Amino acid sequence: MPSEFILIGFICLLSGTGFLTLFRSWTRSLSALALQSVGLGLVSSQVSPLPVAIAKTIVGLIAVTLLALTLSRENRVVADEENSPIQAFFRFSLLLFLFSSLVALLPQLTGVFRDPPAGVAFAALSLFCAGLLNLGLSEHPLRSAASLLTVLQGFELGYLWIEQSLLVLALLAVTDLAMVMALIILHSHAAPQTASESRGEP
Amino acid sequence: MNAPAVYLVLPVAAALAAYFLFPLRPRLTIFISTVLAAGMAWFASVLPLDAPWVVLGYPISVSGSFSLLGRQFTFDPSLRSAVLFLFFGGAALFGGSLATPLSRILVPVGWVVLSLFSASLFVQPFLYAAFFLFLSVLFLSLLLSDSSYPVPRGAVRWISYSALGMLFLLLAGSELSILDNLPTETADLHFLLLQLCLGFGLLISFPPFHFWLPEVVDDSSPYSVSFILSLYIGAVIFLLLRFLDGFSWLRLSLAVYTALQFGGVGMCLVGGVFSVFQSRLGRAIGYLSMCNLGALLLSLSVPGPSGAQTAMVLLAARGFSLLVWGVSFHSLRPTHASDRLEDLRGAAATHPLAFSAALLSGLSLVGAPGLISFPPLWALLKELTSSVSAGSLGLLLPFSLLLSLLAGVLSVFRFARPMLHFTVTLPLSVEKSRSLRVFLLASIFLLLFLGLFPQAYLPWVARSANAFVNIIGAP
Repeated sequence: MPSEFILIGFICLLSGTGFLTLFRSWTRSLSALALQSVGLGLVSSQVSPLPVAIAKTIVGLIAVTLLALTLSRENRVVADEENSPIQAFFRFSLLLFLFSSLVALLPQLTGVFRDPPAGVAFAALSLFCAGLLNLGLSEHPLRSAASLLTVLQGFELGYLWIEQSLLVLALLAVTDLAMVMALIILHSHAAPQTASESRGEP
Repeated sequence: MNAPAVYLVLPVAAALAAYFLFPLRPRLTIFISTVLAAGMAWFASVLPLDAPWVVLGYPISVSGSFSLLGRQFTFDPSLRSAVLFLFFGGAALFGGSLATPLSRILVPVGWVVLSLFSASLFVQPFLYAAFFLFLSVLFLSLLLSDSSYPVPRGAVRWISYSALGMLFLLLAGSELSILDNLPTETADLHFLLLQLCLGFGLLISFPPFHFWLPEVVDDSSPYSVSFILSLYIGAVIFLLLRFLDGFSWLRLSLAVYTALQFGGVGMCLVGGVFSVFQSRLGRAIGYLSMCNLGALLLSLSVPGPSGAQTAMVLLAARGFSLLVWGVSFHSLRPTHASDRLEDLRGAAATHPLAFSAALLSGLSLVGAPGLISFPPLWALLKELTSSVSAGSLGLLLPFSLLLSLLAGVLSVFRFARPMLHFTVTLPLSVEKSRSLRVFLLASIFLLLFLGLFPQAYLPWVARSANAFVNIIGAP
């Protein structure tokens, strides 16, 4: 894979991760998740065969499609969360703090994945930590699905450097999709309640 | 015939059959599932592996392993007792569901989870068991929320914690394979131990990763919660034991036993203290189950066969106590009713059997004398008070066990008092459903009988520890 594509991959991945944290509207969040998945595929092509990288992107895009279908089926009663300027600024500060910490600590942290190329390690840890951050910012099942998917994608990117077993790759893909499906089902049980909450009913 | 394939595929087929048969004949579906799970448990103990099996004079060759995407799934003879344990537990939980409001997905999910637990036992290297345990969490989480219990907050938290636990275990596994299964550097060893502690801590809900538990107990069907706290925790403990069994450096490392001691003491103390201050019965029992898990970890902190055997017996007793609690709590707190202290007033008059069963199962979880968990707890207390196994925490180990017992008794007493408040406006009655009455009476009898005559179940349950040949063979 030419290095330009990998650079584009990094930009897609990091911007997708950043937008996923910053945006609260579902359309933008899902677009960010799709962008992040495309970036993941391009970056992972650096450490894995191309078919594996393509499979990673496809799994991410399937997850995005599942989330989008769920939202469209409910006519977006799962209202976009409030995103006042102060909240957006707070999330932006957290993101800035996260990325700067990762840059500073990267030499020590690459050991977690047995020293992959610095770019891959940074991308993997960014996804992992930003996913954890998002997980802490919202307990909504669908947002949790997006956040957990980000965490898992970060882990998978780093883990590709260590483990290339076909069974493990397949299980990771199954895990991603099964996790998204389980959270969608849990959300569908809670949807009426969430809708009434969003309308301000007791 | 391929033995591991049978235990992976047949449960999935049974899940599909149960899902479609349930709307037509719900009780028959549960009955067949119970018998089939018990049959598969028995079959695991008698199935000849890599040898011909003669049926009606015809030899059938039985293969003990198969390969999938380059990895082996092997039914090792040492795994017989573990498979028996899990499928028998599954059969008991299927059977117990007859005494609760029937749910269409409980049995199918139970079957899929049994298949995933089997995969977690068979997969080689066993470090990949973490995947299957996480997949089982995803399926089990579906039991925690439905139209009757629409708040999935606890389930979402549980999935999040379990996902992180799986990642830490996979990282530890990859680290081990790179270090050729034997870390020589102290830094490597400490890093590995940290990953293992975090991984298992997240999977068994070690504080502060236990916050999903009170949410789940409040917002989910009690029987589903008991399903998870017994069967799923059992599978995680099996994985922990396989780690100890599989890596001699881990088994011989003092740091591991110290970590288990800290874990056990922490869970006993947190569970005990929190259970006393709860105002909701479900939460109190949730914390008592945490005390029980603490006792389990303390038993694993005893090196050698006695620790593993005690853990197996505690696990079986825990499963039975939680099963009884799930059914009795369902009866005491029907859907949407409150389980707050003040709302349970007089419950003993309206639900005498459920009240007695809930009381006894709560006490049994903390190992109150005369009940099913007491004999293994007594054996553990004796082990911990001996100077050899006391380790770095010394007398704190038996003290924490006794404290959790005391806290459990106090907590149960707090809830029993208002429930025993009889008034003339609440006429004495008995549970209406016959199956519920039979189940509760049998459970009360067994909780007491097996506590007073532990020789009826102790030897064969303790034998299931034979799956861990290296631990059992260790001095």
